[in-house]
Amino acid sequence: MYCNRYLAGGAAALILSTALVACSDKNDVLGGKPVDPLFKTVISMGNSITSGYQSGGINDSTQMQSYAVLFAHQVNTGFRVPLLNKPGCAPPIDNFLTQHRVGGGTATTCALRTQPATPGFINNLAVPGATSLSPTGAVPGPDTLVENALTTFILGGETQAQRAAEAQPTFVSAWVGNNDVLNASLTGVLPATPGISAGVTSIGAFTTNYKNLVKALRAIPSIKGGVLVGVVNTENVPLLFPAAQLYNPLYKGEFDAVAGQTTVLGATCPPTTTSLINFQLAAAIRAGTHPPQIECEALPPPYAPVGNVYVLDATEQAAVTDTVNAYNALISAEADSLGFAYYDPNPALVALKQSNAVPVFPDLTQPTAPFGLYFSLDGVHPTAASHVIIANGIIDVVNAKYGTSIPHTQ
Amino acid sequence: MNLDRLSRCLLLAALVAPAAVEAQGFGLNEIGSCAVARGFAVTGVPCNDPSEIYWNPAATTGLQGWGLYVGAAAVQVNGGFNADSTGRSYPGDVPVKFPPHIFLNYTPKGSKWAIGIGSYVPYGLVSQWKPDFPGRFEAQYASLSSDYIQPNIAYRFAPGWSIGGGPVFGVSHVELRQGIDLATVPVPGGGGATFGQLGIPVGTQFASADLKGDATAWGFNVGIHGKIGADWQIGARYLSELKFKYKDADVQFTQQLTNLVLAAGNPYGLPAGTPLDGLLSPQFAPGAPLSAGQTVNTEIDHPAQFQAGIGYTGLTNTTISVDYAWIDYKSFNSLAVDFVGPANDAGFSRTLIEDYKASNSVRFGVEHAFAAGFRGRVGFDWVSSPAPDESVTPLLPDMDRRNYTVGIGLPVGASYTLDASFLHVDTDGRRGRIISRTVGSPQEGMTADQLNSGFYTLNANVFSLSLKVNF
Repeated sequence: MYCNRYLAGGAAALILSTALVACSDKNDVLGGKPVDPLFKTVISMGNSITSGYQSGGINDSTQMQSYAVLFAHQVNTGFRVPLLNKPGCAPPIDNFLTQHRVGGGTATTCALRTQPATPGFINNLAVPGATSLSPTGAVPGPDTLVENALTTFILGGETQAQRAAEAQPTFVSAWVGNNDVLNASLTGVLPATPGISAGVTSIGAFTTNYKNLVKALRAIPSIKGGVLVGVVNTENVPLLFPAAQLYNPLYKGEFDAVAGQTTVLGATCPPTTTSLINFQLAAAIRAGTHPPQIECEALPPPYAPVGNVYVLDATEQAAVTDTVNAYNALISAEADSLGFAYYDPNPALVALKQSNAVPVFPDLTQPTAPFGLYFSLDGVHPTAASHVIIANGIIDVVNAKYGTSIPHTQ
Repeated sequence: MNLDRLSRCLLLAALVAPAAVEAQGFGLNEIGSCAVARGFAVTGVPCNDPSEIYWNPAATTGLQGWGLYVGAAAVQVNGGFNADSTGRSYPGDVPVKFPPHIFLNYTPKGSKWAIGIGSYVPYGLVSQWKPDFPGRFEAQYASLSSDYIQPNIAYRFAPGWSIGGGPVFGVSHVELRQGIDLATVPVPGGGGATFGQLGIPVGTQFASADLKGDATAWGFNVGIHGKIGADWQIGARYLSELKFKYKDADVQFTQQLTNLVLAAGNPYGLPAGTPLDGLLSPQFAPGAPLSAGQTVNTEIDHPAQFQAGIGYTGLTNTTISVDYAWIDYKSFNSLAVDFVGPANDAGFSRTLIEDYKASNSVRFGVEHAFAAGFRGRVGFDWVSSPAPDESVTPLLPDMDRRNYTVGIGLPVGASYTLDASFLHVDTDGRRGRIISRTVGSPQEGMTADQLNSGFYTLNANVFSLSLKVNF
């Protein structure tokens, strides 16, 4: 094979370790007899949350904290995870202020996959970045915008649906759709805008994509049950903080410290504003890609996109909520049509927020846990503690649907 | 024996001999239906037929005149593998095999001498798994058929005591088909990374390798047999090790499509939509590691056998016998597969670690003669496996066996006897591996617990039929 010239560029950033040569079956959650025959073979489809992505990175430690792995453990079934060697691919951030990553790597560092000792299908098929289109899209499909190196590292040249069919699962969990609204919510730009925002997937397109996923699942005769998980309302992620919090001098000072200069709170940001601001705005100001001016509503030219990018105003929040609600109504209905359980993660996440378990503003005095116990250092992805909550929520709906007695995980 | 009789014998031999090249079950010693029925406990008190040439070359002095013994066994092997991680079961796909045997002996009336010749199959193996078997990268199909041809001469040196033996010429044919796992192949220019480390799942077959080779070897088989008093007989035999060196065996690599397509942003730096198979096809071009026309060298040492037995004939019309057999599988400690050609340059040559030990078995048999020459036979064996816990593989998932045997001998006229027997091989199953363990690999130092990833089951049924002709 003569692909050296390609690899020279593509693999240049890869870290090779002699330890990687060894094979391992540590990526198997070895079960004995499943708690119910329904769980003889369990697979999980999804995106970054399902894969175990945390703190802007992923490695074999974060992967094993995924709710999908916890669920497999609780039903006592074999579960192979496509583990990524430490420090990761990319290594997770371990300090919010310095953006230092595990092992000192960068966002392009990748320590490659582990090599399982024995052949066997993968059970956790989730790929960070995957949208509703990704699981069934041709490889490469029209979803090339969100495909990334992890698509190949995890799926190895097939789609999630293809890998699922090969595994002949008896039980499936699928949590897709978060990335259909997440990027737009974080950038504050809901229409697809090249170079700025992937946009929100229209309800029509989402419906088509999701029905294709359901069709793919129906085509796998071994499936006896499953659970579909609703889309997270992304306005609840703690990376988006209420702009009104900047009237707190402590928070304003911390924001300015990260931005590297004193910022100006504009006229569109009264104390009563309900707009949400992405904390990454501070980094953009520090990098000089955004003026040190904070606006809570989109300004007209020539000031645009100030007040638009990194800002989710009330109208946009409502649009996101409406879209997510429409997504979840569809997902719930499709779960019914499949005879699957349905789990809506939003009540649990909202409850965390309302109980003040999630800081309303990043706690910069805790650079290793600025978003508290339940959200990782990227302010978007759940921590191990949240995965426990998610796993137990899924266990509850599965027990209710199928009359099983899966115990909660701790 | 007149020429007409001789020509009939040669005709029978000619009909059977070609099948010997193909026919083989696995190592059961299914040589002669009488011996099978008596649980192979026939060295001390041999069956009264020319298969003694194998079972105890000395005992042929007890036969009379010309004798021909010809037949075959139908060997049906059942088994499978249950994978730990998936809970899946993979049944074996072993075809029924028919290993033959033929013996011709002449013991002149009143003579102390006997001469003869035999062709038999003391070792053989067929294992075959379906294409989805995860251990197919170790072996998807393996066949070893080794025919031993043994001229024999025996001499009674004292009343009731004889020695005998002869050279053994072995002809062996070996075949191995295995998948090649793309995940284990280094990515050219990848700095040592394998395709598996870039995301190709372990167990992605992109090629198959078919190896076929022939070899010959020389050895010997000797025995001693004696009578102690009127009611006891003892005997022993020793079949030497035969070293088969398969030189310049053919190897054929065949590409198999993976149908994998690279996604955007792939770590190879290739455009989205690039078919992986197109990248791999140059591997099969002339001069490339998997090109046609390459050969391979290997050696399989067929172990020496020692068996000793004692029998009691003092009961009316009944013979009871007990044997002990020792097979020196220690000679099968490794299996080198040395490619000659680009495959060797690419590092495909390897040495499989087997580390077999000697196998022991205890064999019991009873024969009772009923009216009109009809004989009934039963037997039982316990056989220890030579394979250590680290070497229970798809190639040969060996395990301790229990053999249960039963059979009859039915006279047909004055000169013919038809022997029929049934053997059931029973096992408890055994944990084993589906991955290779080669010299220099990370698996070399692993324990059985680390290597083994599932449970093998195995049993076999053998139906054997032999015709004895006295001239």
